[in-house]
Amino acid sequence: MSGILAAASVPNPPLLLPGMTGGPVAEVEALRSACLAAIETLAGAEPDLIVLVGGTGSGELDSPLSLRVGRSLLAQAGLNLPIEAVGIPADAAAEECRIAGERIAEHRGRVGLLVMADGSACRSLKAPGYLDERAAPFDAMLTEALLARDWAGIGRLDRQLAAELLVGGRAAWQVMAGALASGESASGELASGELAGGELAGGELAGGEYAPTCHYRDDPFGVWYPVLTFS
Amino acid sequence: MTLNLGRHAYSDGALLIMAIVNRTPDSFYDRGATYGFDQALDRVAEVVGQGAEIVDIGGVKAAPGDEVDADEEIRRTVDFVAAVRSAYPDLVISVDTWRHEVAREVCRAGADLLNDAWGGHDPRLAEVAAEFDAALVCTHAGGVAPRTRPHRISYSDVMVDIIARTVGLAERAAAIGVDRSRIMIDPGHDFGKNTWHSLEATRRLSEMVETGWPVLVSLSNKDFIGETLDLPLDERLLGTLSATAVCAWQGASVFRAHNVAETRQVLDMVAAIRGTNPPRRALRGLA
Repeated sequence: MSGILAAASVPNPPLLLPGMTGGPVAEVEALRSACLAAIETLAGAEPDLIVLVGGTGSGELDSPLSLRVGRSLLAQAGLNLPIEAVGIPADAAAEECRIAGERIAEHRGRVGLLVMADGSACRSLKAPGYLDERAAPFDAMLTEALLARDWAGIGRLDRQLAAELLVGGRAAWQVMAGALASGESASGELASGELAGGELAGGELAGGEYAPTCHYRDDPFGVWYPVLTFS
Repeated sequence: MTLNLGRHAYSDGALLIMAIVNRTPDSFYDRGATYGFDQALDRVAEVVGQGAEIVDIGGVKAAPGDEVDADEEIRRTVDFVAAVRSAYPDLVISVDTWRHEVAREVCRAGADLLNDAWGGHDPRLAEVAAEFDAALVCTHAGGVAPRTRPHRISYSDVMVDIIARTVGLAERAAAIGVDRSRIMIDPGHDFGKNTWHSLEATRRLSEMVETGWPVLVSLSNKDFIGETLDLPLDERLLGTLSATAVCAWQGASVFRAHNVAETRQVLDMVAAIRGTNPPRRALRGLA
């Protein structure tokens, strides 16, 4: 098999970097465990390469936070695979994200896709962006769409509203949606071909639909952290 | 320089609390609250729980008052030291005494450290420290006799006098066999000093640190704080903690204190500002 074997979506707050919280903080350690479990699921698909996708800010040319957190979590999980990092501008348009995702799906190798993304940062009075009543419904809609593999729905997320709610992961999720939609349709076509021709084209099938698993969803600090895998 | 106390080795930058446990009926701050054996043991449990590394057991109040001879001081301290030793095998036990007779008995009972707050008044005290491989605090008291108050005392330069006397005592102790890694120096706030002297000693504490000997400060609720703020005994905690922070920042290692929990907070804060200890829970701006 080749293509995207599995994907994981984990948040990228700086507090997941080693030592960043000073002493251990229980809420952060619970989140970290879930992220590492998600990466384990990714590893279980036995990829040869990790494609790491994260949003980048305008002032982050050297070492974007999202990719640093991603690399750090892979290291914390002890996953020693080649990493191909794909930074997507956090304010990129949906179309740009979809194309970037489709390009990832064209990989010939055995790919594990790790997407760094978190939801709104306006979920409580103490949240980084203060309380915005639109945040909880937006995050709920977003999370349900991801779990339902509604890749088209993810592609249509309201870019303006996402920006207002400080959703860090909109662009990265749209890249993932582009990649997984492409992967699923490719395998779907192959599956039909198999039925028709009675012969499996060796090494071309990514495994049909990706089964979603939610490892964590909570907002201990007013930011929405979904930890999901698709395998 | 590593500081060795009891079975512990503390590296540079460690900030240690020496909790005061008085077996006296008349000490200035606690006024006899832990004179009773059981009350004093309860106090040890409390301060250990609050994070004190050292307890400093005293049998004679520092200020003038009822005579306490060596026999009575031994009666107040030795059995108590033995009880604490047995209950807390790892705790560093200090005894606040200037008398070598008392020192010998408490070392036999398990004391690790002799806190000679009266500036080497009894030269044989250091010999006992050497004999038992105990640690020793060499304090500046301006050459006054134990349990006397300073009266019109003056120095041409108080820090020069503090360093000359404390380093002199430390070098003498090392020369007669006290392990160099077990010797500390103490500027002796209020001892042989008026308030101006104690403030200057605090302000220039880094000069003591630069000698290389670990520095102990005994600031807790003392008169120089009360006079500076014009506050009675029970309102000196904030002044004490301010002076504690200033001394910690300049490099003092050991803090003799009544208020252990509060002192621990101050020292943890200083350590974090200095960058030697991380914050316990850093989340701001990182979610």
